[in-house]
Amino acid sequence: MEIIILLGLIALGAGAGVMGALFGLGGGVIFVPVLMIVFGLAPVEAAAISLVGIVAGSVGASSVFVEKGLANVRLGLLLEVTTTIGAIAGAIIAGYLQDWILTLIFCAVMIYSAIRMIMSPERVVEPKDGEGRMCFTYKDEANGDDISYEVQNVGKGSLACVFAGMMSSMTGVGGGAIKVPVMNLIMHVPMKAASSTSSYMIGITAFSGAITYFFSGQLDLAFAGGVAIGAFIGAFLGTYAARKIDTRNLRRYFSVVLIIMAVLVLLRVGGIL
Amino acid sequence: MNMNRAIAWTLRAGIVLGLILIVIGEAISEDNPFLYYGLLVLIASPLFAVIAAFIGLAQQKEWFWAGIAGSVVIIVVLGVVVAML
Repeated sequence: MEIIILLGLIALGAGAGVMGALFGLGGGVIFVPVLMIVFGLAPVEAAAISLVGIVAGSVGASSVFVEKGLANVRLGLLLEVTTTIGAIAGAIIAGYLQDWILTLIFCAVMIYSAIRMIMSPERVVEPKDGEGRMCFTYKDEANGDDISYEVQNVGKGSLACVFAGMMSSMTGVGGGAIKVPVMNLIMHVPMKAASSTSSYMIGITAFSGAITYFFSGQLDLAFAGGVAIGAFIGAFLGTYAARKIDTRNLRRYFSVVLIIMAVLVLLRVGGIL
Repeated sequence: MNMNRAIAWTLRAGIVLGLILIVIGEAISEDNPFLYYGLLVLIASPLFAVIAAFIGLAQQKEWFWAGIAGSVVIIVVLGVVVAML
């Protein structure tokens, strides 16, 4: 492989790695079109490499977030169950619905979530009596405070993650764009914990697809290796920034990224990207 | 060892070992065993981390959460098996 291509793949992986670590988004919406348009890969090859990049970014970021207690492993695993159920349901339903309807629903949800995150202040519920099953604590390195929170509306949040899984498998875009708002807006998980937990979850979700492509021989190893190196570098930088950034700014930036993602998805479905 | 630390170290071991092999592989040629096994280790890391979570939660006798972690392992492995059939 030419060195310029390898450097390009590393740069692409690094960009997606930063996004994954900062916002809990996989970056598939960027990976796939760039790999197809700039690197001339077929859609299946691009999707396979994208999944490896998502795993690498997630593993790199989660190794820090989990140790620091920012990523909520228990909540992440719980929501992973419902997301996967949704993904299976989505794969079945997708055959009966038109692509543009799914995409419009998905984009509408992303834009609605972005507006709500910009307009409404973050609401975190402090645990009333200490040690409940849904009470958690982490240290916010931006100001040194211990943040305790009690996860609310677990049923509603889990149901919303079924929807996130459905949308993810029907549109091919990672569920982070829905899971982070679900955790933050419905379950009242602090934004930093929500994005870090999503960052942990996307690696588990992407694992299934990545390993399937790997064993089926559809993965270009050299390209995937380049993206993985970049994603790790990006995750390293992103985790540092995520730990230091002010929560209000993180929420605001996340909302902007959601709107950009919605536009990118619409452009992709419209055949422009 | 604390559960979060065990998960973090599982993930860290996966990415460090995987990346070392990938970097060697990229330096040698396009397709070689270093790249193959490096990517395999890296891709498998999230599953090993969930297994580490399951063990950690079971050791702490947090049966509800251990059950959730066990369910994730089963769902993920079944999903892969079904996809590969």
